[in-house]
Amino acid sequence: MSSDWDEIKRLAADFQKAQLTSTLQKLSERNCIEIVTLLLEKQLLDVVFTNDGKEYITPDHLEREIQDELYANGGRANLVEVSKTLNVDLSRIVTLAERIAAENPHIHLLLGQLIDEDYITHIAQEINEKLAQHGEISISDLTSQFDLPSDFLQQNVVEKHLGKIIKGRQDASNPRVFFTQAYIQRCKAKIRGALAAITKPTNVAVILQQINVQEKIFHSLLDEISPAGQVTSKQANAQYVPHIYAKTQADWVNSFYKQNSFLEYEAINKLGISDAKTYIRNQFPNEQFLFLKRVALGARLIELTVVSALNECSATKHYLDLSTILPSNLSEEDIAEAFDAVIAQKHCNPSHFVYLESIVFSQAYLTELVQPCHDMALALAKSAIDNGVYQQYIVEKTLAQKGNNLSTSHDADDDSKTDKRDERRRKAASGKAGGGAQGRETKTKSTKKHQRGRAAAHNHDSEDEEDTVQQSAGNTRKSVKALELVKSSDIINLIKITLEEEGLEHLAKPIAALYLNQLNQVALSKAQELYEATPQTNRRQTHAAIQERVNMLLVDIRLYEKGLKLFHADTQTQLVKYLLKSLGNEICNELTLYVAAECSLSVKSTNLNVDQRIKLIQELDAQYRNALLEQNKALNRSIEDFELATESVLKACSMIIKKADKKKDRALIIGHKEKLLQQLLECHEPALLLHLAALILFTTITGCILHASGKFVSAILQHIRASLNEPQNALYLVLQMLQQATPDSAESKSINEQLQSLQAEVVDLAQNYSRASVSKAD
Amino acid sequence: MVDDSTRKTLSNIPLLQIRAGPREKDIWVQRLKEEYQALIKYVENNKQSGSDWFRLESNKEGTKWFGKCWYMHNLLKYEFDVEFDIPVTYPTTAPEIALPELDGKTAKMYRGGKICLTDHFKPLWARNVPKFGIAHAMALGLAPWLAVEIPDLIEKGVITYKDNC
Repeated sequence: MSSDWDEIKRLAADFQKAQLTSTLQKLSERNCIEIVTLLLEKQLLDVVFTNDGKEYITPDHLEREIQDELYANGGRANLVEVSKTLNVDLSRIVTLAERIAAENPHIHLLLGQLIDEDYITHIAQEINEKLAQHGEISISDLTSQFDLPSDFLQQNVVEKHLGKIIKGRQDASNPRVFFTQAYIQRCKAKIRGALAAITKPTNVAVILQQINVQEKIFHSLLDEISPAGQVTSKQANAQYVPHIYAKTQADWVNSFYKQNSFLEYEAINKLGISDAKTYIRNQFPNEQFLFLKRVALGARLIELTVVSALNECSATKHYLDLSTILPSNLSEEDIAEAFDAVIAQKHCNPSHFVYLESIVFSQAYLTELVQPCHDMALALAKSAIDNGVYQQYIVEKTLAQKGNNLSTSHDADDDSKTDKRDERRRKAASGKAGGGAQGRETKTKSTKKHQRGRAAAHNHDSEDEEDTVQQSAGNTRKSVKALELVKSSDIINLIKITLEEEGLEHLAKPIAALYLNQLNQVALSKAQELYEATPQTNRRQTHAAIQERVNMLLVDIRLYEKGLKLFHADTQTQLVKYLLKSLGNEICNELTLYVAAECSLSVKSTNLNVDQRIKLIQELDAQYRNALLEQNKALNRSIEDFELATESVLKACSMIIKKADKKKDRALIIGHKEKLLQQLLECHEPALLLHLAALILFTTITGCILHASGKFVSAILQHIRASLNEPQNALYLVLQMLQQATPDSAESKSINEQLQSLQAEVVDLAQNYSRASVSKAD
Repeated sequence: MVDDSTRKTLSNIPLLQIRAGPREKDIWVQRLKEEYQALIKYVENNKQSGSDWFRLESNKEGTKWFGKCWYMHNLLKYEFDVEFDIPVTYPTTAPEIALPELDGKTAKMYRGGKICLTDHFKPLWARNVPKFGIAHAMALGLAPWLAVEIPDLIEKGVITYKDNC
């Protein structure tokens, strides 16, 4: 235990000793830091702290370190990197670097980098290598490669070492570019070779691409080489044109012309000459040319060949195939052009020639050719008339004209020279359309309908025709298609045969086309002639003529009426019937046909019976219909009714009824008698003879004319018996009885003989009596 | 837990084995021996690392200990008296270290200047009975307390620097 306590004591002593021994004089980190801090405060020490604060460095040492860094980086050190590497603040480094650069002339500070001479030498060598490789180098390339400012490069690097390390030359025109001599020589040789090989105009850019030379060098060396050619310009699209090329062009053109005496523009363009005409003019200043659209013809050629051929052609009255004379390259258009030009130039009479598809016809030849066609045309015209085709056409035309006139008058175009018919028509139409018309168009339409009436077959066609024409032409005049009497195929057929011999049948069609119109006109005029010459006066009667005739007939009826009034009542009625049947019918026919023509209904025959007439009337316009129907009905009644009805019809047709003229009546009667006498003298048949004689005598005796048929002869004779002398009367009676007694053919011969002998007497009687009775009647 | 530097320091102090309180005459001696050994080691360490921060001595029995301790703050040394008794139930209970000068100047102090140790200290001591001794108490208890409290007190102006100390 005590040992323990001793031990304790000993330990305690140790403890105290341990405690009292002074601390190791080790300068701990803390102490160091304290010391340095103290020194810094007292400014006895200038240190630079590192970025992380763990180290100090003196400025001198830092400087040395920077230089070491520079050396370590091969002479070029970026200060930022240096600061990172040395772990020191950039600003301190920068200041130090500036100091270094200032002190040391071999070290340059630029762009935040330190560069020393070693580095410069190094890059100079590199530049030299590059130059040797490429032959040409520019500062701009170097700048981008080395990442150094161009001025610096240019001055300090390149120019300083030019000739020594960098073996090359500076380009005179551009101080920023350098070459080696060898390179220039190479380029020159390349260019020379390339240009010598070119035979046609080539784009400079293409050349350069091939030989891999730069444009600037090319242009600068071009003069030195003096190639056999020209460069058109110094700009982008320059072309190199070798002299050979121009020469070959000219040669080609010359030789071609000499051989062929003409030049195609296209061929010239293919050679590369853009403006063919001026080129031709320049090349051949002494030659005359005919410049067409596609081709230039030598004037000599033209004169020699074409003109002479044309002259020959007109002399021989033949034709000429131009394509055989002119160069074969020429197309039809060219030949046509050439022909026109020649004709114009030489002042030949163009009417002498007709040009068709590269064949020139002399006019004489063609006239000969189509001669048979004339005859054919005339024949066609005749047939057209016979068929009634032409008449139809005329009708349509006149109606169209009327329609035109109407529409123009509706257009308030007052210069329409309408005749009476048109005025009347206009009044009628406007009168009808005045009530409830809605506009010009409707009016026109309604009048059209009034004109046409109901649609008959051809009516409809012509209406459609005119409709379409009107629609297409707006408010302009309607026109009816010209009648084609002569067709193109007819002509072709005729002339084909002749042409086939010559081998020109392909031209038949165009020739036919040429003459078609002419021949058609011929045919139409012929047809017109024929038409006017035909005695179909029924249709062609003008309004006035019809009026005249109707009036005449009316007068005749009146006169006859007077005559038949002298008879007994029953004979009278019979006579009336007969009169109405004959003359009245005629009048009705006239008027009906006239109206039908007006309404452009076609009527097949001119003599209609009652039923036909009535049917026709039904198809007419309303304004005429009633009147005409009345007239027809009146035919069965008395003369007065008939006259009235006729008057109304005439009014509807706007015809005037002439007043009865006494003087004219007498003249008419005498005229009538004369006619009958003449007929009497001419006729030989006894029945007719008796008839005529009876009529004449009646007229002589009564002073009125009579319209009677054969069955009334006995009645007439009875009537005139009173006035006749005994022998004459008896004669008549005998004759009559003889007439009546000869139904049998057996006795007829003997009786005929007797009649013959009596005939002369009867004639004599009629003539003489008339004279005698006339004086008596007076 | 304790921070790393404390832990490191602590690991360099040898651990004790004998469980003996001051009333147990025989084995208390053994305990004391061990205590001294630990302390010597600790101080040597401090000296070597340059962080020597206390002077201690005891009475003959080893039941009362007293001395000085100091703390460096801003390169200034602040020194204090320190004392403590070994409790009867040692080593189960840790000794209560007291700084009489600072009595009443800080909240982290019981009456009489006994420092108020961290919440960690007592459980840590309890876990490591009887391995921890006086050296450990100093390193684990007082040192951290000083590190926390003294700067605070200096800043508050409660403690001022005395040149002579």
